[in-house]
Amino acid sequence: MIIGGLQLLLTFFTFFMIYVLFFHWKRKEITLVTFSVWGGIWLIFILMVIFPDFFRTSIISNYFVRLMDFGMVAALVVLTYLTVENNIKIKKLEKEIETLVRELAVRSIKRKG
Amino acid sequence: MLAIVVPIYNESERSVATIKKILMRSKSLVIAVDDGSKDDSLLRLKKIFERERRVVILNHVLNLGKGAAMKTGAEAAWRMGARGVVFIDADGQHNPAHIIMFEEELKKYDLVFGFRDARKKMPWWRRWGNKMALGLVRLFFGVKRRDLLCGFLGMRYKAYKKVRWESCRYGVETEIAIRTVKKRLSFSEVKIDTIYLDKYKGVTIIDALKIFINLPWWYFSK
Repeated sequence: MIIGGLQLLLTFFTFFMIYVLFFHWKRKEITLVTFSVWGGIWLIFILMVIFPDFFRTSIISNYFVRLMDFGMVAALVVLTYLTVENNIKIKKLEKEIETLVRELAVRSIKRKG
Repeated sequence: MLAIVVPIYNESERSVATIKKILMRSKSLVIAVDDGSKDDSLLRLKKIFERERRVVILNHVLNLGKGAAMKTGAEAAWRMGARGVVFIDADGQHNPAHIIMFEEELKKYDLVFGFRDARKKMPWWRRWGNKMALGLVRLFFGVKRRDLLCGFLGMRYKAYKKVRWESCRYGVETEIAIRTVKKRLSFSEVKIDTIYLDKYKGVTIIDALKIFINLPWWYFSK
């Protein structure tokens, strides 16, 4: 099996992403579940990069013409999910900040005289 | 008792002048809400009105937007025993002399909205933005209003509980207008002076677009 330049680059990139995840997990910035889920996704990605023929023949051929198409669709699904999730979290945070700031302001009412 | 709520953001000079005019024209309590101004608005207000018994100064530690400042002011007013509030912009675009008309109308109606004569002094993009908004609200909600984006308005406590808005920024007036219709509250409109002091402040085209996008949301939300 010969690994091409693009495969090498993507492999390094994937290892780097796993390292970033590991780093954040060790600093307790993400949970073990988050680390495992994202680690799993990157692991599948690295397998697809190193063994494209296996995925092309066994999984992809029935639904997608090229492996790249599968990668694009999968990436779009993940990105859509993340966008929705981020949007919900941002809205929730905005609401919490608004409530907190307004409550602090109202609590500061002082009667004069 | 009625309270006059003045949301303030970076209006150090004009907010002081506006509050002084309100105090001259009305006997009501004035609640100034500094919405996390980056200039010295809050310091100036505290310094100038420290001994004024009719002025209450509140501040947001972060800038949340006009809608949030209005809500804070209204809720402070209810906690202080007010039965109604009148909102007036701090930038001098609303004439405090008209507050008396709002006070009178609030005796008869749940809400009172100010309207400006669109032909007078209003920049063309605001005039057309306002016209578009009025057309859309008339089309979707069947209500005929003369000015949708005017921030000079008043409401009773009972009405506030029903129209309590979600918009933190400039969509607040449109949202209140829509909720007023949806909740079948009584309202009237009073003519106010058309004053434009700053071309680049207030509702931008981006804000107007966001308002239009939010229309269906306000329509279907409770």
